[in-house]
Amino acid sequence: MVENQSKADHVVNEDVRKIPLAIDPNLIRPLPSFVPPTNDIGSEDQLDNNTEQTPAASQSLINNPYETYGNLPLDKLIPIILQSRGPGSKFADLSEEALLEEIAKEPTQTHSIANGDIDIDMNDSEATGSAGDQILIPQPIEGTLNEDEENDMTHEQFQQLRKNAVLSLDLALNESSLALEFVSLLLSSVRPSAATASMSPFLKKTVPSASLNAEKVPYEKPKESEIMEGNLVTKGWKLRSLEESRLLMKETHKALELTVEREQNYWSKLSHYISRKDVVFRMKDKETGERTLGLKYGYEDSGSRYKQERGIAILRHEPKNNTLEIVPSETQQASALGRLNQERFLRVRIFNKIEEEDDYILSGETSLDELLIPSNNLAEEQDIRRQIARLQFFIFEKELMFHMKKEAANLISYGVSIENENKITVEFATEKMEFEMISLTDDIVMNRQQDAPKTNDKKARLILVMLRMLLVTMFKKQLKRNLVLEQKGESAPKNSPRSQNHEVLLLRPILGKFRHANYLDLLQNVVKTYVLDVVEGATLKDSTIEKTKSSDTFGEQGFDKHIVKLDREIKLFESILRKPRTYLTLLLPSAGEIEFGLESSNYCNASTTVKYINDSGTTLFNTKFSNFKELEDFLHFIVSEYVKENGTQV
Amino acid sequence: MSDRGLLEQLNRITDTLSRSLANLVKNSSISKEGDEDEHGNYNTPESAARTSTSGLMLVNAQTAQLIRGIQDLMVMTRTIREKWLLTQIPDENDESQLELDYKKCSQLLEQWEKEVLG
Repeated sequence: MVENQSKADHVVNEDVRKIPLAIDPNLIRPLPSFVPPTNDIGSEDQLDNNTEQTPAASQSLINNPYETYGNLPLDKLIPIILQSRGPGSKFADLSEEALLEEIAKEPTQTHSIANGDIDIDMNDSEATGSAGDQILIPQPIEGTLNEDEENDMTHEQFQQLRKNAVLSLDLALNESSLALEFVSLLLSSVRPSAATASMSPFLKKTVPSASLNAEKVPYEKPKESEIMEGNLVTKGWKLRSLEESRLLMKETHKALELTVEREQNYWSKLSHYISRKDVVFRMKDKETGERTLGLKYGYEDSGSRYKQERGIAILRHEPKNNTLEIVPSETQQASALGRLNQERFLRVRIFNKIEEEDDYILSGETSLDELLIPSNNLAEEQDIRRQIARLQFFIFEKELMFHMKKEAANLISYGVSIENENKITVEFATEKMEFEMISLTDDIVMNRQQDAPKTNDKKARLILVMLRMLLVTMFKKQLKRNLVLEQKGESAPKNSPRSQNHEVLLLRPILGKFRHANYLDLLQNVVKTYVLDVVEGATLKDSTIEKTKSSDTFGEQGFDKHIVKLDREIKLFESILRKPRTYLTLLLPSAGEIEFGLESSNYCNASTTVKYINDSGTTLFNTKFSNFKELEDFLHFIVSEYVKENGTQV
Repeated sequence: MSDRGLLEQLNRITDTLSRSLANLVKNSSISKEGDEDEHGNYNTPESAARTSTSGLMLVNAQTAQLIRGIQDLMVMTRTIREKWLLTQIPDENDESQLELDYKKCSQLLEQWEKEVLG
């Protein structure tokens, strides 16, 4: 018993070190069991756990000295207290002052005693340690929970956490009910009725009411300085938060003001440069990912069916210079692919053949378009309209070349060859034309005016202009077709590529003109040699105008005015676009006449119809030649058979 | 978004703006609040801390709301501008200005032929 007592002494002191209480719950073990105020946990279990002292399995309440202390009836508690204070002490001797003194002395005391008995100390620290763990557990719960939301929580982990949470809740509940009991008991001496209402039955049964008393502690009014301090802190916080809010607003204001300025700039530029005729739409800038506006500079809506390039640019605000930029969406992709210079223009060159040698000499070439020459004026250079015009120019030139190459592919037999993907050559008897796509480089821009003007410069320019106009006419035709179909309520049919090819009329009309002029020369030469030089008084006259009466009928009056307008504009080019034909009438004195018709079925070839009508008006011959040699023979034949004969007859 | 929708949005935003600004002003007073509390017996340091904390949060929240409202307004202006730009219809009268002189054109074309071939 003495040993037990001394052990108890150590233990009590050890416990006190952690919790300022004079009782070791372990000591209660040999004593009769008690009923806890909350009856959710069996007392038997508690005892069992107590003896085992297993921290993991222990129900939180067991090791809590407060609990055991609170649960003890006073008649058992007081002897224990006396026991712990050593023999000879009396309960009546205990006073608040003495206890305070003891507590103040405690740390050193317990330390020395604890060293005395390691075994118990170990044992106990384990027990209290586990109690401490459990108190601390609620904190880690949150942390681990958050982490585990991301990583999958294993079932055991979850169970563990749940158990911990339940334990903490139990502990809290128990603590609070203990506090309630204590307050109730304290209150019972003053207001018994109010106190008994909140007492647990166990307390009522075991402890007589009004058995606990305490001195009244007067309410201490907070000191002036404390109030001051509190107010100061409050005001300080307030000021700080206001300051923070001010800073936040200021920063946001700055940022937003910048944005407003940028927007304002962007939109005022837009309204300045973008007219109602532009095709503008929302699109996403692939480079920056911003939502922005796109502008279509391609000619798709104008009747172009060029699909190699979409002709779409992004209207981007350049924050550095505060300017509006127009960036073709294709160049973004092209630069990503490493194809940088997309700026190409078509150049027409005319070479004349040197008679003796088999060589050509450059006799004319088109100059650089004004649009391509960089302006000295910076403002003009930044002009969006100019940039758009450039983009339109380049896409137009590309399309022109695209179609020309397609057309040229079928014209090899007429001296047209595609030298490479950027060059088409057309050869005639005495000259050669080159249509070449040239990359717009600085060199070209620099050297643009170095050469002296050449004789055929104008011709080259005229041909280039006509090529462009013919492409526009192609657009117009397409546009008209779409409009007519639209008016008829049909959707535009998807033309097959073949029919599309067929419609391309760029090189052929121009080429045809040259070839036709050559054929006409030939024909006239033939006629001159075989008829005019032989038959006296014979005259040749051009009857083309009589033969080709204009069939200008605006039969489409029922159509929309846009269609009519397009129609008229297309008809303007009829003289260029129609297959060349020339009619000549050879009047033979008193021997009738010969009508020649020089026609072409595909612009480039030539066939001659010859019709001989004799004096009396009967048609004796009406044939067709595609070979001038045969024509010569035939003319010779007619002249010798009919004309000469006739003449001698006369 | 329709015009009505935009108007409603505008009303909503201005409402929020004025409300949060008023709240902010109301909360920004320092002396008054202190006076009230001093006379109350409940002015323990805890309650003072509580009120100031909630005041702090309120100020923050209202500031954020104010800023968001302004941002919304800006988004709205952009929407309106886009609406303006994207719903423009080409003017009929503008187009008719380009009336061709057909006779002159055909003359020019004839001239072209002569120049090129000649």
